[in-house]
Amino acid sequence: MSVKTVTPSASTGQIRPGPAIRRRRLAIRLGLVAVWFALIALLFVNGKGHVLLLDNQPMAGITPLAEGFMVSVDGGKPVSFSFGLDRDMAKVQGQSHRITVTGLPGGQTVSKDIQINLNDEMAILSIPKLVAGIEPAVTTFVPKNAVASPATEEPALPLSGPEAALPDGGLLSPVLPVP
Amino acid sequence: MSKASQAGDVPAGSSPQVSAATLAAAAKMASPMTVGRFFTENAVVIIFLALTILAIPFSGLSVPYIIKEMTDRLGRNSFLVLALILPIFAGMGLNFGMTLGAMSGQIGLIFAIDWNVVGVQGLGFAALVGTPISVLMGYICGVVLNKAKGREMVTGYILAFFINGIYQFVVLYMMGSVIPMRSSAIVLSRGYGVRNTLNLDGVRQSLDNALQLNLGGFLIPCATFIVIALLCVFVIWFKKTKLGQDMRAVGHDMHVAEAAGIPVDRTRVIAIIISTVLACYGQIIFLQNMGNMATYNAHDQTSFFAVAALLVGGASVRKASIANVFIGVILLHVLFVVSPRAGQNLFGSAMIGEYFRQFIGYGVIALSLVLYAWRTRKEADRAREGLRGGSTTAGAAVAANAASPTSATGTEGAVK
Repeated sequence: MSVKTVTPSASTGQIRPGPAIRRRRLAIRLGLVAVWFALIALLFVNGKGHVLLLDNQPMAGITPLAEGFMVSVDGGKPVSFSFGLDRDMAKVQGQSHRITVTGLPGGQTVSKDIQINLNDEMAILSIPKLVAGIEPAVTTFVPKNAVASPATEEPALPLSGPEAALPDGGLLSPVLPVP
Repeated sequence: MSKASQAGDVPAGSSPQVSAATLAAAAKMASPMTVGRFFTENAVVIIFLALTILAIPFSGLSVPYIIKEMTDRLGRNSFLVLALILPIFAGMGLNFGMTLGAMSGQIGLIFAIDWNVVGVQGLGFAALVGTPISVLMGYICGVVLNKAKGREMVTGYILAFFINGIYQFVVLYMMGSVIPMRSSAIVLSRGYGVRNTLNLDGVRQSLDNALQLNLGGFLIPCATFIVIALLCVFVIWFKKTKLGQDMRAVGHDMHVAEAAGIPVDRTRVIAIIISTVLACYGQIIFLQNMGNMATYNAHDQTSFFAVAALLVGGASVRKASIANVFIGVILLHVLFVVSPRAGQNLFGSAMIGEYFRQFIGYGVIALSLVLYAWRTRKEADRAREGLRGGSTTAGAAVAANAASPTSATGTEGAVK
């Protein structure tokens, strides 16, 4: 059993905790740091947002499903694949999701769980593969022409002069933001 | 009395003598509540109430609309205003340094958006990232304020400007170059620096919408109010703890507290750290409700509006309660909502109403500080007259207090 001691400091006269208390304090602080990292990791994994493309387009060896079925992600509002719609998207949060496909030929309903890779910002779910049970139904989406649109970019800041450091080009807004 | 003391910037414990605030507190304790004293003590609240009642009919806004706006704004702003209570409790005045916490919260949100962490988890992520930064900022602020005892408010205000420069340097130059950024959507086209305005789509109103209650057509953001209620409980609980009692003692008289063995500087630093961390969370709650973030100036007016709201609610530099927070947020924001429309209807220009907002904000802070200084001086004069041989009970109370300067509880009942 450790002995908790306090010793007065010679220089300041203040009471200083003994080694046992100092060790315990250090352990608590290290524990708090570990909890902090664990919470960050937990929130990152559970809260990471992904764009899930629901796809019914023909692929190599895969025949698209007949129109008229509906797809629901995590019990959300179903998306109807009809009138020529062969791809839609859903914004999801976290890695595991339940996909429910209803209105298949014969009134069949398929409900399956999928996993999205943590690093995938955008993933594509092949519904024909999911219904047929072919793995992997979810793959990373790589856009064919991944070129950034220059139209969406903001003008560059002035690179010299007294206003160079100001993000709004020196014209700080005189009107207060509405609180 | 010193100039600083007249400006209401001196905590009671800043002078080894019986300070003006202590004299005033004793006088207040002894003098009966009259109509005149009631009006003097609540002048800011009464002026605001009168202005609001006058402006509502001119604005032409319906009562349901105003109630809806108030519900939104109570959820949005109350947390930030509550963050100001503990430094007042510790005798450090209004913490204008809370802007540092707001910047920390914004950095947390930038990372949440960059890493695409959405929903309530995104807010939690931002809060976790912001917490160590705000603790560090609060520590720096506390240490600086300890070097400037008696001038905490103006020092905090200027410190916020200084740290704002560092924040701009980090966000404008380091993010994307030194600090890796994943999302090209938030980085400027030149490859480093964060864009002027960030779309907080992923976390927009995620706390407000987490638990909503439809009450007579009004959507009540219950989750936000629960968080605010928890903070109120925390503040009440904290005041009863050993540390809370230490803060109270430091707030009353630093020298007496030091003599009693309380580590004054450490206690003051802790008060500022807690306030800064709460400001960080408050800014995250504020921005999730707004849905977008002006990266470089969203924090500029945070302390300004929070302080104005608290003062409108009847608080002063030395005294604030949870009730002051809610009264202040409601009164200030009712006037904010109705003044532009009233300005438009009265003068034909909405801009007059917009300027009126700014005028109100600065005006209420100035008015409150002037009234506080005037009241303190007047009551101290009255108490001193009693000491010189008058027969007032205030004088007797002060005399008793002065006779035993080591008594930390001498004025405890008067300053709560």
